[in-house]
Amino acid sequence: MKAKECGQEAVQALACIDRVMHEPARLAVVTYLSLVENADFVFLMHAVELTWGNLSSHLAKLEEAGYVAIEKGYVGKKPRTTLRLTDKGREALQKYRMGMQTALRATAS
Amino acid sequence: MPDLLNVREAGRRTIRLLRFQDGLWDILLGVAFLLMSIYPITRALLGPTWNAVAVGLALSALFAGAAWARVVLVIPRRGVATPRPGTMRTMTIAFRLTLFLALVTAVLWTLFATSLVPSPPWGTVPDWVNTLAPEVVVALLLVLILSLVARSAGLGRIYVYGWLLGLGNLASSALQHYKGYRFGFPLAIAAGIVLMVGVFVFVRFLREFPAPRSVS
Repeated sequence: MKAKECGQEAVQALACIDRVMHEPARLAVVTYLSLVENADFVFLMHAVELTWGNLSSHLAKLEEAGYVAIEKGYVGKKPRTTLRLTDKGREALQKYRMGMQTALRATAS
Repeated sequence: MPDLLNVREAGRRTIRLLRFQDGLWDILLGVAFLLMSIYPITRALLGPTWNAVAVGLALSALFAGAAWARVVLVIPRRGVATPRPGTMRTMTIAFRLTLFLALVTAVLWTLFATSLVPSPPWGTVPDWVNTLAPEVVVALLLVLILSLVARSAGLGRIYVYGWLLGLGNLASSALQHYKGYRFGFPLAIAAGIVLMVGVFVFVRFLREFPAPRSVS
């Protein structure tokens, strides 16, 4: 369904919900990244309480969607993965919240 | 998994992880007030100038130790993040308020100590106002500042710290003035409790956040 077809009707609003974002773990990742300029992998793992492998797979999907930028670098001799929410990701989170509110309002009325 | 859609709670959790999860802040606070509680004793032993130097050195060593522990022990286990300004707004207000009050206190102390400004005519006010009113103000400010910090992090123990340290300081001043006690033991007890909680939180942090074998 195209964006312009996303109306106030419950079905239309639900159909427009971003499926990448609409997964609890990924939503948690994006929510926490929206509160920081950047964070490393270890911090995010503790913040969202996911395992190493689980977080990696969710981050891969978010990176593929263009919502998260992943930079691999070194601090001294130790590797560090730094994560950042992109502008596209921030916009998608905002749209997701509005879309969910619209859908819930529409189903309640 | 933590609350997902509650951005406010996620913000508080971010602050807790970044600032209070390791207990170092509690330890610093506890030791700083413990030093304050023995300040009159060390002042009598060393004199005002050397006492100020000794306390300054002790605090500097303490902050350096905490910074070292943060880099070596905390960051590899907890990771790092740079919070957005909005996430830390209340914390920033509390920090700036503390700095402002410390600066005002330092300026007033310097002006009165060097007699650049004549001391206020304390003889015209009742004795308890002269003695305890500033301590009541200090207690209320401590409660206010630590309540702001507690609210921004969603941490109940910091509310308790505000009341403990504020009332401990007030009781110590009253005992010093009316009973002649040099050692501010109510403040020392309050600071000791904060310090013990800090050590407990630090040990718990080391157990709950093991050092990763392969760093991210």
